[in-house]
Amino acid sequence: MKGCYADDPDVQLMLRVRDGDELAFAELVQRHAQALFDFVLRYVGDRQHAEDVAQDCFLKVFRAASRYEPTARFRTWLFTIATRRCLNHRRWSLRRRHVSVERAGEEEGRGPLELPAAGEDPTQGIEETELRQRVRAAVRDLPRRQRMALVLHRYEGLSLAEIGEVMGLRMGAVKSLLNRARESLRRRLAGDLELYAPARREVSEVRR
Amino acid sequence: MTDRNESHAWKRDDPELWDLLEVDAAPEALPDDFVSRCVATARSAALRPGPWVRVAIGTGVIAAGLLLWWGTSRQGRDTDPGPADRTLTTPDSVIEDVIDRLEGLTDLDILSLDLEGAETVGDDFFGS
Repeated sequence: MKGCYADDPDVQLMLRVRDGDELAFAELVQRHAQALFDFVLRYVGDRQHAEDVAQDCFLKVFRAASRYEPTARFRTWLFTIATRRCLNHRRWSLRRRHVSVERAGEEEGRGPLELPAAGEDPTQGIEETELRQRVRAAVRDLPRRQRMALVLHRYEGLSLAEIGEVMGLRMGAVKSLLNRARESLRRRLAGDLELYAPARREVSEVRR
Repeated sequence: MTDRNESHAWKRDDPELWDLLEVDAAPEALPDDFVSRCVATARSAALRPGPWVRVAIGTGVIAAGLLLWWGTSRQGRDTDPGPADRTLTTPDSVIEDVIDRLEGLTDLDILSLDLEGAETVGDDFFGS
């Protein structure tokens, strides 16, 4: 086995999958399904497609198990597969651009409105939901590589080096993508930054 | 600067935007049966031939079909059609040749033919 990846518990599980252990595969899926689904959903925007793509990623992992060699952390490898699948999905969806009326909202990154819990200020809930929708829309409007780098960094917590490995880029290129994404989001969300950011910061500091 | 510090550069340099993005950080709930579906799909996929094997099988089927078609189309040209079909396929030129040769026969030739009924034909011809 190569280098430090032997310490990665997911690599150990993957090696068991390579030896035909189905339980190890189930455990791997269990460990990474949420993160992978979350990443794919932020990229493709549609829940049903995100499920299909995420499922297909795990299928690819299973199919590749017999040839698996631990040359990276499992999580990095998994996101590399997911990145390629997302890009392929984009090509596929460009060919068959068909959005049903019922799902138009989902396609645009808008989820159903959530009702506030009892005792909560209903207007605050709506504001929060609308803010979330604006943030999501702003992220979705980023060029695809900027969006991918941003989601991997901000929401999936990958380091710059890992993002470079996943996207096949040098560290400088990753930084450049993230900087451009940041500038673009700052422009799009300027109003929200003025209104909400100080309040959110106070809340998060109080929580700490 | 190490990669770890680089990774948090954005959070440090632009905490307001970093925090604002937190509003959409909550993950969407996965369907309850997602994991079991993934495992079931993988299990059934393990029993199915892989994509390259399927391509190879498909190519083989198409090649076999082409070979069969080619063989069938050659059969009419290479083999004897049999007695039943022979009369149907006799060319007109052969029939004309036979008629010409019959017309060219002299009386003597006709008399000398060893044909059934030739005697009767000869008698009628010479009026005897």
